[in-house]
Amino acid sequence: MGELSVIVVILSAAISVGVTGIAAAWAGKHIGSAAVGAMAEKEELFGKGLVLTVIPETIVIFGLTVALVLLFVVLPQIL
Amino acid sequence: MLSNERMTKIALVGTKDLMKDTIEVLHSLKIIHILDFKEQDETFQIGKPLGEVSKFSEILLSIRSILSNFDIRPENLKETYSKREVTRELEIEVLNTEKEIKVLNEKITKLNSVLGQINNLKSIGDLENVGLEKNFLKSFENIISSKSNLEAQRKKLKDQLESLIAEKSSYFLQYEDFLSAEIDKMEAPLRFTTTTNTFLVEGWISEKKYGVLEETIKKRFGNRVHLEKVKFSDEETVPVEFKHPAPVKPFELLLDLFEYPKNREIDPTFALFITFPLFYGIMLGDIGYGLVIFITTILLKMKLKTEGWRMLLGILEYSSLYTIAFGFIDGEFFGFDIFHLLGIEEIFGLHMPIIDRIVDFMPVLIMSISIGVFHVLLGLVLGFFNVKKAHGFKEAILEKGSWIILVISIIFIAASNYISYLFIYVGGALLLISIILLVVGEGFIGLIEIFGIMSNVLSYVRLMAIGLSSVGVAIVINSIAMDIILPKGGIFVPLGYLVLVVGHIGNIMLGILASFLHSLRLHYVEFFTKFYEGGGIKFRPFGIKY
Repeated sequence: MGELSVIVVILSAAISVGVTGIAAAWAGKHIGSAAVGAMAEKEELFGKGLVLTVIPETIVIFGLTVALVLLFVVLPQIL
Repeated sequence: MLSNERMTKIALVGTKDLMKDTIEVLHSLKIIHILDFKEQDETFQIGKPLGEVSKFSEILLSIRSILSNFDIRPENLKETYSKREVTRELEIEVLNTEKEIKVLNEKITKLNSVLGQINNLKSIGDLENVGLEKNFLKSFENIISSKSNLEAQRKKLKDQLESLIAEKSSYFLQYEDFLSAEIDKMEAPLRFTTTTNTFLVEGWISEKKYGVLEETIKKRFGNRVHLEKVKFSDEETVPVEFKHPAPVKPFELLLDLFEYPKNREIDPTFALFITFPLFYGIMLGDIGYGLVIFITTILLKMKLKTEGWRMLLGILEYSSLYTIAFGFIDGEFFGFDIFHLLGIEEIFGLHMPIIDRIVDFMPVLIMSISIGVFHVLLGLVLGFFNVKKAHGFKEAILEKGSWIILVISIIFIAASNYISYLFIYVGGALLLISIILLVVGEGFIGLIEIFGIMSNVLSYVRLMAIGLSSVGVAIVINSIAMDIILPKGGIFVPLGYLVLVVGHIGNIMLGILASFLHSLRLHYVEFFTKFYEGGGIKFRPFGIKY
């Protein structure tokens, strides 16, 4: 039982970073190409486009936080 | 400091015969933002340009192409070019030089193509083995041997062109200045309202400078051109002219990228000046990286003189100072635990490093979220004043006050863990009040937005996360170089240093970009949405070149 929960916690941490990373990259790809397209039409949109491209990175930041909490707060309690 | 230049709307009316002189006066004053003419009907029509604009534009275009082809810019010139009167002689000289450059350029292109063909011929020289006659091949050789001659010729022409450019470039710049100003003036009537015999200019001017304009117009035209202040409604977009002190000035760039503040809206530049570099510093937080950025910006400032670059470098300069300061708090120098390595335990009685953010990430996480709470709260308070100014106190309480109380109640509830459990009752009571206000103000749908505020606050976790990833990469670079490659000795030593240098340069570039973008995002998405509407326009005085 103890060992299994350790495995589950570590696996969860890995998934939360890995999957959110992929998700952020995927969203970034779409937003980036759309932002460049919008900029070609109207150059003043540069600032907004730039900020829009970093918006999905919030996902991976949350994922990283969850993973850190899992590894450094939850895991020591089980061990 | 927080308010901008107060603007007033003016109208200038005169008879058409005075239009040219009026434009001349306005152009030299450089204090009026002219509004474009909009609605056309039978009486009021758009003005016609003065003189032959198209001819001037053509000349301007060819001069600009020369300027950009040979990279002639005012800052590249050794001697400062004087802004002399543009005379007929200068005009002729410039146009002749332009022709000369064209001829020289044509000759050079021709020579280039001939030389290219000769180069192709060269490979024919090997055909001897195939069995072609020697005499036949000799004629080719003659051509090939003339190559050096042609090359010398080309070099001569190129030198001639270069000396010509060097000699005349100041004339070109001067003439370009003159022409673009002239075209500006000629096209100005396109923004005026005209009738058969009169013209009307509508525009904005800062209240302070109204006197200057009035006096100049009076002196020049007497009563023949009429100037007056026009009433305007709050709905109109008033152009914004900032009057920030020099240290705050660079941060106008961040509004330039986003949107200018609307009339009577709080100008967020000062808030950006305080929090933007702070967030940047918290995220990057490394003494070495901060120093590198600081020195680079100082060096680049000497080279790049355009306004946009100056502003960007100004922002980075402040941010790098914060980065160095937070580097001391985190005890990081290019990813190394500097205080530990130097054996420094305490400075001024403080345990060093104050926070080791790799090991104790929880305090940093909590700090980031608390910064988020206060930053969002600040945004809401600014929003409160904005709404109060525009719609009155009651609206402000319902629209922003409820959210302010909600955030404060959360602070109380969080503080109950640390200070006293009694705080939880105060927090609970405030939470109840805020929810009632919220439902009254925005209906039950407003309750859904509580999650929006929550995600806004949690978004500040990036202050910790971005920093952590930047340190992580730095530590990996250091350990690859120091622990794996360098101990092998021999030829691995330079390789190890190469890894260190290239790795850290890459990480610094990533760090500059990521910290900048994420700090910007926190302001645009989390902070500005609480109070900022935007949609204003920049004050562009007539007569200044853009």
